[in-house]
Amino acid sequence: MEHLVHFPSLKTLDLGNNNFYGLCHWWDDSSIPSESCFPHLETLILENNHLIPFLALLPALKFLSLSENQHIGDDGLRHFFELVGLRGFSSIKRLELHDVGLEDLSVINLNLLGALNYLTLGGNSFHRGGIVRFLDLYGERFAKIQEFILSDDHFSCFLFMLTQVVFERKAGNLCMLNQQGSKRK
Amino acid sequence: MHRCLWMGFIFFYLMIFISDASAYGSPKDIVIHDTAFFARILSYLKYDEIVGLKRVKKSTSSQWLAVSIAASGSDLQLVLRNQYISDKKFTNILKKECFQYVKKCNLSGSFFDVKWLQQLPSLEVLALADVEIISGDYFLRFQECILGVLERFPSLKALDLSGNAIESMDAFSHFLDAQGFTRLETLILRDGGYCG
Repeated sequence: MEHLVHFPSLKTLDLGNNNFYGLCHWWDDSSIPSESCFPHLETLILENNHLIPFLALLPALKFLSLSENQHIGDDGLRHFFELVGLRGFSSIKRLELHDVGLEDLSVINLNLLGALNYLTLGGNSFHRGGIVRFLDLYGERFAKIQEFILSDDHFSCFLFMLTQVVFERKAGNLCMLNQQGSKRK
Repeated sequence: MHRCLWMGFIFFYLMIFISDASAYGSPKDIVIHDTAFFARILSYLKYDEIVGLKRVKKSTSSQWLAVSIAASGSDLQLVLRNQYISDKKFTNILKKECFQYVKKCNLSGSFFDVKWLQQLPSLEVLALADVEIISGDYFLRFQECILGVLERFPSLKALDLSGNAIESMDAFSHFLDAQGFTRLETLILRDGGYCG
């Protein structure tokens, strides 16, 4: 697949439901994609593979789906945000992380995803400490996300945390939550 | 008195209606010269009606030109999903005058002979997800035939080959690169069991 990396016109690439374990060979020996990799790729769907998420750095990426890559976990996502931090910015507006083996919600560094307005996190088993830390660190930024999807299992817990952490601290930009677990400003 | 007034009103209305109808002709005689108007009609029609358009003996060259321009500028689609597409069906489709203007083709889930893919016009969108392709009486391996087919569509903007077995993704991506699909914006290769 390495021949596709420099495809000049590609804006959408959907490789969902395959058995990809790594895509490092897309960019030779480097694990960090350069500016010339997929220069115009805006949508990358890699759900249900076995990938680590170093694709965060594609320059034009606006929609990244990594759902059902259970191997990612906390460490994989932490690495993802370290790479985003190296670049300093991300154009991602829609990030799908459904069932990626995530337990610590606070590894999602919302401050590095300035353009994000849609986030799915269903199918993960978050621990309470991570949720509290997440809301503590990114509560304000979180309140600005237009769509936030959690599974029903975690919704009540999250709502409780949100009530405690965000509402009690009187964050200026409060949110309305509904029973489906989606949030709108 | 009222009856006379009522009769007068009906007579007056009929006179207007007849003069109006003679000005525009009866529905059978309606002709379309206006390209934009025809393009608007096309946008409401589905594939079956659109490729069913045929040139009638009385049509003038200017009328047909309007039709052709409108058809070429519209977004004609050939959609034949989840079915066996017989040689007879393809033959009938290819006879239609507007077939040459089809830009989007979706044969996903269908079963057909590879020779018909060779006769499709230049396409911008091609969806061949989960297809079964034969050549005569023999089933073809997908990778065996798809490269030869794609060579015919250098202007593709979107390609969906989901659910088909492409044994060598390296060879496939190398082919796309070598063929110079410089307009390809969307590539969908879901459910292929590809490893990497």
